[in-house]
Amino acid sequence: MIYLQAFVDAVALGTLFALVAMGIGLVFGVIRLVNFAHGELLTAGAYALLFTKGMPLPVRIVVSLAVVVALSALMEFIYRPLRTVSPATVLIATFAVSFLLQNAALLAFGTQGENVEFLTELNTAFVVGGLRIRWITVVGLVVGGLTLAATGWVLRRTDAGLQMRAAAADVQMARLLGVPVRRVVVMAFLVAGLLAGIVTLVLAVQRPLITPTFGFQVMIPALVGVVVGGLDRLVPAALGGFAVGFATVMLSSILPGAQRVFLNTVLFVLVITILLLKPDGLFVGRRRAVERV
Amino acid sequence: MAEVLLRVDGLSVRYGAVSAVEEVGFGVDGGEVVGLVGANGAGKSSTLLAITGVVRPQAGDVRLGGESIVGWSTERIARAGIALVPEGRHVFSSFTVEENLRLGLLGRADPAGAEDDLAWVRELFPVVAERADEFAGHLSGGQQQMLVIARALLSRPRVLLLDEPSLGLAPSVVETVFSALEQVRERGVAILLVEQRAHVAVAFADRTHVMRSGRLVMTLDRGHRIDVDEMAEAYFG
Ligand SMILES: Nc1ncnc2c1ncn2[C@@H]1O[C@H](COP(=O)(O)OP(=O)(O)O)[C@@H](O)[C@H]1O
Ligand SMILES: [Mg+2]
Repeated sequence: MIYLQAFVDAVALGTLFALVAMGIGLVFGVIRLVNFAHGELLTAGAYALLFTKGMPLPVRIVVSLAVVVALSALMEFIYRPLRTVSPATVLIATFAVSFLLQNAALLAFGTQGENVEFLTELNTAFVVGGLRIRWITVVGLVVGGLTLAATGWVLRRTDAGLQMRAAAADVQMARLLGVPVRRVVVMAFLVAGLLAGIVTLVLAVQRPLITPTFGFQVMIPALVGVVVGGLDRLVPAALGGFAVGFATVMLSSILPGAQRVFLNTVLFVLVITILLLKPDGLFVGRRRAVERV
Repeated sequence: MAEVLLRVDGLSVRYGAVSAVEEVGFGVDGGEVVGLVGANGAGKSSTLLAITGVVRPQAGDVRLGGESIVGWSTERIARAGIALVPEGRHVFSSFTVEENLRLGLLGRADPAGAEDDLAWVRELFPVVAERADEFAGHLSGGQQQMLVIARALLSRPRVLLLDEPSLGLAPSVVETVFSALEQVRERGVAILLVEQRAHVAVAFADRTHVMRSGRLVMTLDRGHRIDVDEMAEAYFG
């Protein structure tokens, strides 16, 4: 029974990780850049919820989403000069942005953390067949599932989505067909920001204590999933994210507390190693060397 | 005097220490087919890449309808009406045939007439209609070549640049491709055809320039009977 309980939570977290993974994969697809600072998007969104504490719910949601999307657009702008430098340099630069933002939050707000008090009533549970299920688990699943489906639909069915996929698959050929690659890159960051913003809303209910590493803790395992799944293929990347989110919950329900602490560290070391050795992901070795925008 | 549709003047391309194209000049007028032939490494592809802004020429000018396009981004040049079918085909292999065609349509400067053009390329290359929902990567080499030409045509180019469209294709397939290109010519689309095999180009183009070590060394009229010694001299010096 405890495993079934863990299973429900694992599916819910897996869905959120899949969204984070998709955001990272989307950006990587079009500019071959692993944005380590993707986690800070979530952190920024969480602090926005904190600052709007006490305000009407719609205001809090809109402000939080807007902050995350705007920060993502800003990151695109910051990364622009990096187009011509080596992948290792880009990696370090996005690292730098990530740590800069984390430390800025640390200086401004301290390590203590504060309760965000966002939709706390969703943390109440109902019981079905002996399982205690929190409402936020259901909401997270529904919101996450719908968002994944909507993103998939945009990528498959719309002109902008087609152009985004084309730029990701073969940027040179996309350009030769008149795809406005710069606009596509901005769009990828905006969509990634929106996905991150949605994840933030669900996560802030589940983990209401907001600290400077709020997003980083989620980004690392999601990134492991992306790297394992394959950086420039969105469905495998999302599945990879799901798998890692799922495994994390299952593992921490099995592992004793002392070993749980090391889980993130191990994942972190793993992802850095893979990115340095195989910057295009584990399963893309045989394909053409891909060019960055 | 009316400007030539596509005009290349004194074009030079270098890759670091390697000089690939040196002071090449030629023109392609509306409705014209111009051939560019030469041995492997002569600089043919580099010429096309410089025209389309994929590589930045070291010197020289490229004019489209009288306007200099040197320094423009590749996507802007594409939208201005120059479509390149690059060497090695470059279908989006994980996309369906239909999606590949849609990408061509999205490259049009003017959406008017898209339906007509779609009907036309489906008639030219029935395979792109028959296998519309399959992954482009599952097509044979010849079918992929047809798909990339169809896709390029859907962007309604003023000039179509083809880089070795016959490369690696069976003779019967080459024939199919060129009979379709004949109809493209009849539609009034100007074509710049790069070929390694001179006889293919000379039979098709209104005139054909021979390139050697980055320079144009000779121009042949359509149907010129190719003399082996003469060609060896032109290709290899
Ligand atoms: N990306 C590149 N980097 C360095 N040298 C290149 C590159 N592309 C082509 N070259 C060189 O430029 C010359 C012309 O090549 P290319 O234009 O491909 O000729 P062709 O298409 O006629 O075979 C060759 O010597 C080739 O080795
Ligand atoms: Mg070539």
